[in-house]
Amino acid sequence: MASIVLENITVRFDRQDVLKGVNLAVDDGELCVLVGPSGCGKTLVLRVIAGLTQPVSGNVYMDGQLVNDVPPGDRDIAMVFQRFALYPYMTTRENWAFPLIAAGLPQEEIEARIKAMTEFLHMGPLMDRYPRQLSGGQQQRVALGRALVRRPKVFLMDEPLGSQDAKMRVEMRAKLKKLQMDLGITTVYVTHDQVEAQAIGDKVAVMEGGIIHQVGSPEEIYDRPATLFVAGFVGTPRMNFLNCTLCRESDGLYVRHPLFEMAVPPDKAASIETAASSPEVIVGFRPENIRLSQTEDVGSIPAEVYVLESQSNKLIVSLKFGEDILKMQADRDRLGFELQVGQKVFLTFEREFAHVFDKQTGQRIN
Amino acid sequence: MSRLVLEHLHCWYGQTHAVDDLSLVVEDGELCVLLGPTGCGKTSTLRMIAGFVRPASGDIYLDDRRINDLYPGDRNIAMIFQSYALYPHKTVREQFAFPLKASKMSAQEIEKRIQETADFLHMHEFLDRYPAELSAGQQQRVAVGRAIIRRPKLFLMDEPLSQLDARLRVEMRATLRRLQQDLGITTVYVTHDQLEAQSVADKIVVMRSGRIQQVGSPLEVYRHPANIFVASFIGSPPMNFLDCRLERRGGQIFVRNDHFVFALEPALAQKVENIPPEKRLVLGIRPEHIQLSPEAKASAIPAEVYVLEPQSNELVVDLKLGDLALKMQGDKREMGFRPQLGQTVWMEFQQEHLHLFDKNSEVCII
Repeated sequence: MASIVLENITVRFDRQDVLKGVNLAVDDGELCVLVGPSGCGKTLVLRVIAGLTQPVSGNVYMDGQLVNDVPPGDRDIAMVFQRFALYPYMTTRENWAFPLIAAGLPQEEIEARIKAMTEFLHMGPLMDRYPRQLSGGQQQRVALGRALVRRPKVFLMDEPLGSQDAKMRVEMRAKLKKLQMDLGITTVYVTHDQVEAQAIGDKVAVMEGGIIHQVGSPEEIYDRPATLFVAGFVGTPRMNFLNCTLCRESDGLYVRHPLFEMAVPPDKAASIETAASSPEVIVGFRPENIRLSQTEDVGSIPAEVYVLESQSNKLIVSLKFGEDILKMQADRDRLGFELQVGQKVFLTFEREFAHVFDKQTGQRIN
Repeated sequence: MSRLVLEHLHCWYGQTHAVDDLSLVVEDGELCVLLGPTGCGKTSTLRMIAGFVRPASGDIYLDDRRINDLYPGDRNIAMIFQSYALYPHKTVREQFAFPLKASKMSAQEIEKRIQETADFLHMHEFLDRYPAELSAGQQQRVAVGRAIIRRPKLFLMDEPLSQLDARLRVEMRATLRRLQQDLGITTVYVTHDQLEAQSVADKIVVMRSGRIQQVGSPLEVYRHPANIFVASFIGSPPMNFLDCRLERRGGQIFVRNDHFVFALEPALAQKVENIPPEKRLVLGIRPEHIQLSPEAKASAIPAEVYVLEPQSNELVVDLKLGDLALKMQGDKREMGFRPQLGQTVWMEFQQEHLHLFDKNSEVCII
């Protein structure tokens, strides 16, 4: 049982704030993913929780207890790194026994725990092998097992799938998620891969430049990104961004772009107008929220097919749209017609899925 | 105009048969991707075409001219590497000029070509910058520029995007694709990333252990994989494979294993009429071709929801069927219900996308 609360954590290196007042609450048993580009401070948050880095200000609580001054070894935390850091001259069994012997557990207890973990991770035939005799995926399980046999209160994982190939990563992330759920150990998981973050997290915290932009379920950060950064970071191909202007007309509020305009639904108009710091806004549409047609329709906008990319059952279409290149993605079978590079098509935005951001502040305003 | 023909190429490194009887035609202007895991022979093939490695036997023709005995420098082939291998202390203009100066071209002609290349790549404003002052995308354009300024007959690209982060890779592959189409230069492109291969290729050559497994368009290798290896290598999450047999009853043909039995639709049944019932088969179905329903249906197979992985607008659902594990993937909006962990759901396979493989030979039957 362990919950983690970070309160206003600031970390400074060379007179520069690399974490700027980070607040985060991880509930008991939850898997919380910290995701962001390199240098965003995600690993640093992990190190603060572990007690390996001292913040200049702010508090760390575990189970409601202030642990700022508790040394790392006494926080009952297990870490799993990208490089598994297994002892090369120890077999799987010895790798697992080591932290338990160091903790002074009786022999029977050590054996019982190793036996249970062997079954849990299906490591039976691999217990007497050395790390070099194991595949990357197997070494991963050894590293996990070594952390798990200690039965820590909290798991910290730093890119634990980073050294696996793409296919293994997809397979392992589901297993890891299931394992974490079954064990119910509170986990903080760091990755730079937004696809992995969405797949594995109960809760995802998106970071950039030492701050947390948004904390939410994978659905929340994808369906309602709080800032321009989150909108651009989560989802692939990336959300399309269009520079637009808010215009108040006698019959309502409009979003205007050189090539089209959209009426803002009346129930949203007031709140958008209040939230906007200036009329300059950025409107975002995800690739799957753009529809294509061969013929002109009410409200459709002409564009030119610029690049076609096959993607299994889907097609990614880059469209030349004025000065911008937009990307749309659709199920091939559902598109209903063949596309050629250079072809003129008509696109329609699914307006109910528009994301509107303040250009100056980058904050979501709809 | 340049057409590349490889005939019965073999390459040995000591006892390792790195390329085993490879024959391939790359048509004029085509982008052909050599795709496979590490050690499949894709880079060895590229090196033989470039002239860095001599084939043990076999012929290489460029425009009907046998080039086996030409030095790499005399083949009129340009290469783009993983790290763009730009000269760090030369400006873009000097990078462009360098290969031309080496071929003793007049200063006038060199300047003319630099201007043309800069026009084409929209690089005029960067001509006097150094690589360190350019973004990754601009550096790539410089590498392309330096290669095309020589007007080569053939482009060879070895993992040209692998140094970039995931986000940029997705953007750059579309740019590269369009650039190659505009140039119309025949290109052989090596990657281990199947999504990248699908995205840029006219033609994909899937390789394994030095041998070609299948040659086809991205859609062909996705829809009609020749064997289990290709089927599992293309697509993510990968195709599900389940051991099964056929059973004839009352004029119908059923697919059966320990966990389920279902009738084949007449069109499919016809194709497998002559397969004896004792033959061991493997059923292949992609995650995106499984449909789930929360309610029992006569033709559907019950399974338990094991793990849920949100993936942008889609959901990957891990299912458990006795001791079998499957993955399905669907658009959240179209699924019509939100599966819950532990819930029993009913799955149906879209039979037009169902594959059967021979368990022994691993060759695709339908």
